[in-house]
Amino acid sequence: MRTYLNWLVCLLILTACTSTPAAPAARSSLRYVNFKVYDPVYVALDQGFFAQRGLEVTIIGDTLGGPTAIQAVASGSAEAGLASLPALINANASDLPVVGVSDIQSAIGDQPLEEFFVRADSAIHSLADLRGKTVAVNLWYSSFHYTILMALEQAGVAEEEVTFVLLPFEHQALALERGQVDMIGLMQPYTAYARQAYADTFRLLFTAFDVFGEKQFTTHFLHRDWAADNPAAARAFVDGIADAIDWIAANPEEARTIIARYTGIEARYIPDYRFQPDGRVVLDDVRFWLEYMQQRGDVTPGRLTPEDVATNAFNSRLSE
Amino acid sequence: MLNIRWLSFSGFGLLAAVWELVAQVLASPVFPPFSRVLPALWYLAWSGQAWHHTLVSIQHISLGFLWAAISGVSIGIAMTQYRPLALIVTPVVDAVRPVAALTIFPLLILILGVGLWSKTMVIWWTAWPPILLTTVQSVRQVDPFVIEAARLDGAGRRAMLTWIILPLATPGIITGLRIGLGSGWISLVAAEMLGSSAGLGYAILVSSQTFAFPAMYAVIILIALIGLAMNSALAGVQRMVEVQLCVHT
Repeated sequence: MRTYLNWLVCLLILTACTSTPAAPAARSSLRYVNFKVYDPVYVALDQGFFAQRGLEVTIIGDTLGGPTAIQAVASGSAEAGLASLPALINANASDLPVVGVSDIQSAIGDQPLEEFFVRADSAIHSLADLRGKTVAVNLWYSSFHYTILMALEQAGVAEEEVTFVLLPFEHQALALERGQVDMIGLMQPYTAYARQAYADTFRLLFTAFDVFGEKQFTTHFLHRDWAADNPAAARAFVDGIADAIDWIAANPEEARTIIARYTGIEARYIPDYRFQPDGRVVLDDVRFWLEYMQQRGDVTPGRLTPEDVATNAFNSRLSE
Repeated sequence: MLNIRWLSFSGFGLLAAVWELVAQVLASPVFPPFSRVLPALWYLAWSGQAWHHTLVSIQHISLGFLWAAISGVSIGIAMTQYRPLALIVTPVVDAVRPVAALTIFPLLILILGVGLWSKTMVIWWTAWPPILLTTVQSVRQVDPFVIEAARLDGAGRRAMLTWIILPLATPGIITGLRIGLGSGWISLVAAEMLGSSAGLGYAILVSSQTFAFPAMYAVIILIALIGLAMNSALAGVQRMVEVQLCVHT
């Protein structure tokens, strides 16, 4: 009897020790395809703005640009990434299920974002001088490519009069310095590096501001179907970014340090960055890019509306 | 009796059927079914774009492969005749072989720019090692009894190399050339990322970056077909050499 009671007590103690604790609150997860630029996602991760909302964001790898990120998300390898508005427009025109949801790159305030350089000793002093010259672009039909095309149109230079060559950002400064190309287009941090490394060799020819003033270029985007099935998680992602943007504005020095840590880029090459208020998508700017691409025939007119490409529906500050 | 020629084509038919089935099952926007790629391939050919891009890429491949063949075969043969050279070159080849051409883009731009020669160099970089190593191996695998017999017959070093070793090693060397050619094609897209405005690799990049996936896969098929044609030509040369060796030995 005593032995039986001893065993019963042991069994009860064992049961109490191994009983399943109360299940933790459910957390959503999101895989984010990385592109090493000044990205508020890094700040949101670092400061816990996603975690506060029950969203676990995992950066799953680096890409060479927006189109690669879009393909990764569209194929189900991730739920979010960043891409230029022209890339998102092209993606939606090809029925890829992606939608822009928050700002990451805009020519805004004193931040032109896209800056185009020639050699200081070159004979190119205006866009018209680009006739017969070779111009480097980072990606075909990217925001840089279209900005240059718009600039050439404004200067009365036909597209066929300029030779475009593909060259990733990190190789453009060297190619210009060696005279292999006549003009390059850079964004941060490549601009900061070029200004420091080739200060006396390069001359700024024009910026995006000169072509069309303030414009949004790039947004974070989500897998459309995933966002529809997980609206709370989608909101958590966008709202976390909005909080990060506010934090960056209030703590620029600390933000630079965080960005340097996440990207591996030296802090001295990272300038202060501005974003759209509340990280909003500017649908008028989406319309701007869409109409230009339709006018060129790169997208079938009437095929898409700005609302097909991007939305503020997941931004609680704007949609409440 | 099975028709051998039809049998060799059936592999492509099977591949196309598997492609169609897998794409239909996956239903992914980035992997269109074969039935959607065929019209894109037809358009590519009919519009003349295929011809334009093919000529550019064949120029890149031909130059890169030619340099790889000349340098790989000549240095490989030299390595079998001069041991100090083999001791110097072998570790260097083994070290640089895993280095992707993409990683040396800055060096290529610095030295060769972004024109034809940098692309040629990228293709040479990937084609040269297998050609060199297979050449060395083919020469060393010539039957030592045949070499000894020739030596007993009074063959000098030059005659040995010219009339005994190289003819017998040629089929193996051609195998190395075929492998090098395939490697060169693989690096074509990387090569045409460096300052291109035409070429099959360029066409893949444009299609990929604008999400025109049927067109992208159509170009990939075109690359495969051209690579197959070039490889078949080399295989034909290899068979002729083997026949000649049988006739004369």
